[in-house]
Amino acid sequence: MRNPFRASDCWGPAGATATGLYTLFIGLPILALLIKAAQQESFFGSITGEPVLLALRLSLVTSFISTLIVIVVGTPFARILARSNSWILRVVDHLVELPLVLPPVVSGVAMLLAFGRQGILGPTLSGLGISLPFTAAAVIFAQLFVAAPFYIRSAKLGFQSVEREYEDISQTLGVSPWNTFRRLTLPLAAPSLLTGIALAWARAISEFGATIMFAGNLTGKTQTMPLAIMSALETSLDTAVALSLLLLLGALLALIALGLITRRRWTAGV
Amino acid sequence: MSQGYQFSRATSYALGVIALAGIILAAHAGCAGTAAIEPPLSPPGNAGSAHQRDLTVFAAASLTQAFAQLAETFEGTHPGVSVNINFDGSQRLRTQLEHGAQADVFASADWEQMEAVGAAGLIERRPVNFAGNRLVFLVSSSFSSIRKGPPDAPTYQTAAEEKSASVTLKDLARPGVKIVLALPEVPAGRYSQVVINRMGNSQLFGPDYRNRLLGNVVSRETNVRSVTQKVALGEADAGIAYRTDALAAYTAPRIQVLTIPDALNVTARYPIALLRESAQSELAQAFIDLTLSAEGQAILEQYGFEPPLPATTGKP
Repeated sequence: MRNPFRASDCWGPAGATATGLYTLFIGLPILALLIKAAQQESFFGSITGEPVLLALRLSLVTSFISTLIVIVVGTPFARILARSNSWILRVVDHLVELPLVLPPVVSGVAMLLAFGRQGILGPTLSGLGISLPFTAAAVIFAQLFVAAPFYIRSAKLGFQSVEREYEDISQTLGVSPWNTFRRLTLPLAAPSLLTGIALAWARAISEFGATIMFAGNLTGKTQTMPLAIMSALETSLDTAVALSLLLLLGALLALIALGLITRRRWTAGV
Repeated sequence: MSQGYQFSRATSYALGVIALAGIILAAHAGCAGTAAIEPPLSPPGNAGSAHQRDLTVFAAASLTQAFAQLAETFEGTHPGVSVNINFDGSQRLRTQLEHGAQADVFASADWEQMEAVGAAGLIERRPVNFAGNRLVFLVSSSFSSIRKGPPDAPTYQTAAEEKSASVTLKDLARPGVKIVLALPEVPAGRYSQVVINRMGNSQLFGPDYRNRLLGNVVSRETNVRSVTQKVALGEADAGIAYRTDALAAYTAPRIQVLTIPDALNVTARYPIALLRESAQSELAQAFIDLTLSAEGQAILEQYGFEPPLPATTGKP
């Protein structure tokens, strides 16, 4: 097995120091969570209550749907952003990243002002008999708003990394644009796309600020895992820690699964 | 090749050393800079250096406006003292205190949270009751205007007509009304629960009313200010909050207040206490005394709080 910090790499010692510091920085709080969880007797009691299971289900369903929407809408959008030189799209390109800078609570307020009952689209929506705030749809909206930029950004870079000449050659050989995209561009950009999906999903499932602002906090309806953790925190740190570990574990499994898919894709593609 | 190897190895070590040196220098410069430029910030309680002292107060969210003004008054009479207030749901402040948050004074919206802090051995002296508060239903102005009558009802010409047509407590149990409450762990949420239960047990409303009202709840907020905010924004139709919240500048014009009959209402009792961790107990006690003084009580009254009960009946 080769030494990851071998000296021929000019970043050896600096890299090792940085890795150590960073691992400690990230690892210690997570270790603290684990220790706290191990100390409590009613760990399984904490994570098998009905509100927890409802929250877990809601989190999984909403984050799955919002990630799906992000992929369906974000992929063609990222593809256009990656190839266009138009100034309008360049402006749009920068706007896409705005939700990354906004504090999530502000995103929630912004969504209320746009889609809330008293918001800009409020009268239109209520004319159609739709009221978004305090619904599961609002949870998805909030997740979409904060998570989409992660996928779009990553996907755009992925598409940009595919040489335009390859696509041109493929088409001069008589392969249709759609088949070129499906069989050439997509596989080559796949690692970036999958990274983007993982990031967007992780952000969606951990969404808190915009959700509590726009969707509220009601067990079984709009209370996702992060909101359940926050609500549990009001009474017992132990329950909150147990729920956090459950969320952490779920996220870890999903990310590992995605990592395995990515690796297989990668080796198959080369 | 060997030469290059040696070189890159040397470079990498150099980089590592430079990076470490940089970190150390930056940290050092940071300390030195603070010491040189700013007057030394005395740690809380270091009464010896009287330049600038910080008094940290943890106060229930419902006290936001009143305590901000009390702090201003206190700073006026105590030059060099800066009062920092952490406003949040009392239950969250309690958790923060239990996990080692440093503060001098704790003002809670109920006795439960105060007693929990006391049980953890964090209170120096017996807490005292310094204010009372009542619960009300807040109804969003937009809800009032929608529900004033059947859709084709004529527009109301006079204020009297409008008043007679305004929403009643009974309207809040109609299907589709969106109600927000505070979490049951929040003092305001616990008080709300008591009020709703009493309504359910009363002749005036009944258990069916209580069930339909609870069925209309769309969100449980982490502090009472979030309840008020969602009603004032018109996203929720109604919510239960304190009378004092209804009087807040932003909220008042955007809501209508429905009073709860006295027999069914709860009087919230606010205790205040000096915390054991406080290293400047005299200053902290002076702040507590201010809340109990005529001047402090006048400020609290101005924001809609009731006077405390006599000390012996402080705890309900």
